[in-house]
Amino acid sequence: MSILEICQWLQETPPGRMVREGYWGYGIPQMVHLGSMALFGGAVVLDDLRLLGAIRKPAFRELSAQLVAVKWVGFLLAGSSGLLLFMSDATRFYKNPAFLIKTGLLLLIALNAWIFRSVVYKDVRAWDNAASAPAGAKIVAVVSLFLWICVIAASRAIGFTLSDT
Amino acid sequence: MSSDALAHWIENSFIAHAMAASVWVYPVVETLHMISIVVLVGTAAMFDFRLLGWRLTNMPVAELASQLRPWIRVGIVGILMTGPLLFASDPDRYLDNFYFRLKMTFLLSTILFDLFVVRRLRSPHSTAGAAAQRFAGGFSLLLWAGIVAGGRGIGVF
Repeated sequence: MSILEICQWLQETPPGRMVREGYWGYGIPQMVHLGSMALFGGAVVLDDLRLLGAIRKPAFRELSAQLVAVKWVGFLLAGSSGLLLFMSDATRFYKNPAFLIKTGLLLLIALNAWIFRSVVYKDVRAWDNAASAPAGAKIVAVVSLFLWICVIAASRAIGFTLSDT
Repeated sequence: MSSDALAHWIENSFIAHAMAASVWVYPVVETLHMISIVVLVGTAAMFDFRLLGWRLTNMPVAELASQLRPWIRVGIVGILMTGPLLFASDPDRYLDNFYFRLKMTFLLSTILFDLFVVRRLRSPHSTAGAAAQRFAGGFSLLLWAGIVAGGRGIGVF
């Protein structure tokens, strides 16, 4: 089964048809997607600003631990609404350059977070309470902020280019 | 000045012409608008979660407010610089759009609620109890959700 065939099948499933054809079917996932993106992105931005010393309290680990639940809520809602939106028009999304770039950027964000956890975060005890984090952590934070700006740009670009594909 | 005359005046202003100068201007301004939304709504929601008593409860409300304030302001400045530009590109379309009016209603309500209620809770001298904080945090979150839903509705419907 090719990717195209999977996409064709996806957009004819009941959820795919509902989102494509219903008046509210498309609008509600869009609203949920934007709102949850703001929650998830906003929580990540707060972590990044804490690493950069632009926010100084609470300690990084405390802030990060408090944000985990917010990130999960945002991530699950953004992911499920995003999947529904993809299913509604899968054959067009899968060849839309902006969508492919966005997917790549999301993978880079995950990679950046993994690098942070497995390298920089290991000696968090040493800088947890400091006003700002060591250089490695700051680089991760700047990369994260840059990638989020790119994700938003790519997301918006999907809306402007989908009809051409 | 009627709203039609106002719309007509804005349509012919240099801002509207600048917005139409290239196919790139509108998407770029809209992207900057979205980045501002993430900064503003993300930080404002975190403060509301504190008021609700859900997150960051070890931190006094006034102290969290002072930590978040610069970034809430960054978001507000970004919104103020981009939102009116988007509006000026086609005022008739926005004024006639139900979701635009809905968004502006929620926006005005949020501003008034912040000025008259949340501002008191943010003060270091606030004596408000947990119940008042919870109500304010929950209500504020609903208003933000209305702004976001209305904003997306403008483009979708």
